[in-house]
Amino acid sequence: MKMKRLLSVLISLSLVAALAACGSGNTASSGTQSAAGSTTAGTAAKSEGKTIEYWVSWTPGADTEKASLPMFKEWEQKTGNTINYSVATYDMLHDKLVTAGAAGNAPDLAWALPEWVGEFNNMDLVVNLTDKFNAWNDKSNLYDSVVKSMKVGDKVIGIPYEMTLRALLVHADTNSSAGADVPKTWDDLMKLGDYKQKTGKYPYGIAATGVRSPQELLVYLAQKDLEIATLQADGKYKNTWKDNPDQLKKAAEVFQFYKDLIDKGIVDPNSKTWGWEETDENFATGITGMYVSGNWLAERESTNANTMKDVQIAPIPYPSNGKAATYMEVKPMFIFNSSKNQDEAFDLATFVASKEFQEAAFKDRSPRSDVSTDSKWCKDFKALANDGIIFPPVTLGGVTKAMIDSVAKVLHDGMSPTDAASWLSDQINASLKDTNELSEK
Amino acid sequence: MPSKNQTEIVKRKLSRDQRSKVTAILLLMPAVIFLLGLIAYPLVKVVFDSFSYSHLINKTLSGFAGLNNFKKVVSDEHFTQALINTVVWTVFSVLGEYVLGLGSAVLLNQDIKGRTVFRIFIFIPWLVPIIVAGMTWSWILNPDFGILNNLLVNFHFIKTPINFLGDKNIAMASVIFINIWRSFPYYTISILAALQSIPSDIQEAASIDGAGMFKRFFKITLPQLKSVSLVLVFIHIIWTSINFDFIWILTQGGPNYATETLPLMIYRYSMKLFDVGAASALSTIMIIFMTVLFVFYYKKRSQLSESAM
Repeated sequence: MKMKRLLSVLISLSLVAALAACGSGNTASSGTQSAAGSTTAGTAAKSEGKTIEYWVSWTPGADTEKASLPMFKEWEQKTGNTINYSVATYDMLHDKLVTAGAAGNAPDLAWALPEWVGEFNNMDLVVNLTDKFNAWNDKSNLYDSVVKSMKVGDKVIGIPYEMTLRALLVHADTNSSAGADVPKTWDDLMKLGDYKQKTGKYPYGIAATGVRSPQELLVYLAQKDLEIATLQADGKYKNTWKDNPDQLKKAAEVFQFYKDLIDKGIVDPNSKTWGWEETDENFATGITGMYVSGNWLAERESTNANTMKDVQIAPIPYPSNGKAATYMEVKPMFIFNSSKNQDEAFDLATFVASKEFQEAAFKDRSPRSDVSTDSKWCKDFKALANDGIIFPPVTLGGVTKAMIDSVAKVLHDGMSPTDAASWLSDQINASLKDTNELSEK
Repeated sequence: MPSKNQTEIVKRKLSRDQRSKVTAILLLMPAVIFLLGLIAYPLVKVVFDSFSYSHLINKTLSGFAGLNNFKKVVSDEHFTQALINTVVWTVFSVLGEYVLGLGSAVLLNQDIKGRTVFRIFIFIPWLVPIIVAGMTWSWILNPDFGILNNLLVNFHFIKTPINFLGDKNIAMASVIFINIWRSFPYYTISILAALQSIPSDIQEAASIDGAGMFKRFFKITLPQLKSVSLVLVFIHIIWTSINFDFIWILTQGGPNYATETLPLMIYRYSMKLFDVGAASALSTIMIIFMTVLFVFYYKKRSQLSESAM
């Protein structure tokens, strides 16, 4: 009888212990890997070192990962710390960071997109790195525009690890078959109505959904000298299109451009529902003649050697009455407030931003001025840097959703370009109001 | 520390019945902690948040919101469409799964050659992880390089490829079809098990009495499946209506909200707009729907049990 009772108590205790273990903050979460590539479940940090939780978003097996892993090992050996990295797509990474951050269980360091700068700062998830950044000797090797994009006001909240600009990628052979020159303006683009007939391929592409869609719309708006949210005297932001008829007219012209691209057969009608996955794939496999994308497509030269061999790089077409503009995407690494290893995380972040690491893993798309190559993927892209624009540092979740919806309203629902511009202006301001960032001026 | 004597007194005071109750409580404790911590607390928190201003970014929003969160989500321009989509997605998915599951179970219950192999193969779609099934189907249906469009065009069934997941008029139907494909094996296996438990002598007696194949199916087989069907249908109504991942993988609620259901709308409010109060209000609306459904199911189930007695 005694034994029975003892056994039942032991079973109960072990069940409670098992449940407690499930919910504990064990650093070795499933699916994560150490720099050596083995799963780290059950492994502990070196007795003298710390384990840095590092969330990244590279393509498994691609060049960036291959080049980064040996560098991680090198850092581990040098510092005695261990890197425990997890890989997720940017969409997943965003949601994971928001939920983990809200629960106070964020990683030490993570890759991020520039669109998250405003919202992560407003959520108070990320560490103010201003002092550490100012004391960092290597900071002078970053482009000024790069440093600016890491700031909210005067506060530095990120360390850059990658910089890409958008350019018009052109399949030169396909263009030759169509007898088409590289379009410089929107009007040139609209003259390519017979391109599909001559080559069997659409001349251009757009992303109408996903993270790429608002980035493209931002560029076309900037080419018309428009901002989605303008800084006001009170330090807050506002979309001003409806206060200024000329701005609203210009915004409507951008939506008209989208409509014309479909109506005149310049882009595939199916692109109304495409995101970057389809558009990049279609360009890399030669289904589309030209597309605005980034220099990460250099990686496709090895996987799609035949279709990528004729690629040329040119500025993005802009309106005749507008100006050249391109999206500059400077990707930050954030250190999270919940991290207990902020010094080590900063050391790792600056190691990733160092010349040695950048030359190994990001040589064509480095935010450093002293890292570059002679390849077209670096030289031709960086030549466009002066026209680079970025998102305003506000919470962009609702804003970018409204931007995607506004394009959909024109392309799917047949809303007039003027109404779409007016609708988007209202939605941006409503979103800014929801997040307490709307200027009352 | 109680002395040995005191312990003996406590032991003597507890009867055998009391001791077994204490043991039962101890054994139940982990499950109770689990239920309270992982189910009851989040549920109560969601209901509480639905009546509060709670925003991940705008910290000036706080306090009691009354019904404002509910008003906000109900007046959302996409709410009505999302509600209709949820009903359409649920009803047609469950209906299709049931019809296909019942049909395939009846066929697999026949004495045919290779029956075991068929039974194994039919279960495969259900074994495929949702992410794999979703990604595979989105490639199969792709208008540019999808195999289905390729076959349809090459065999001259259609002139131009169909954008199954990108055309807002057929996207929902496509998603429902894929969901049926993936889920019907679960019905097949469950109904097949129930079919095999029907005594063959009832069928034989009916056959001798002159009942034809259809009459035997509708008068004998189907009534015997009432109980398992009720469980299957109600469980799947709940599983399907709250499903998030399958639609998300295939269309992310698009094109232009054509396949957005209430769970996707909850996601949009919480993870894109960071409005936890509004997301909780939507979740509470769904909890109410599900509770009503469960009460209905419970009553039906009780009626069935009583009539079987």
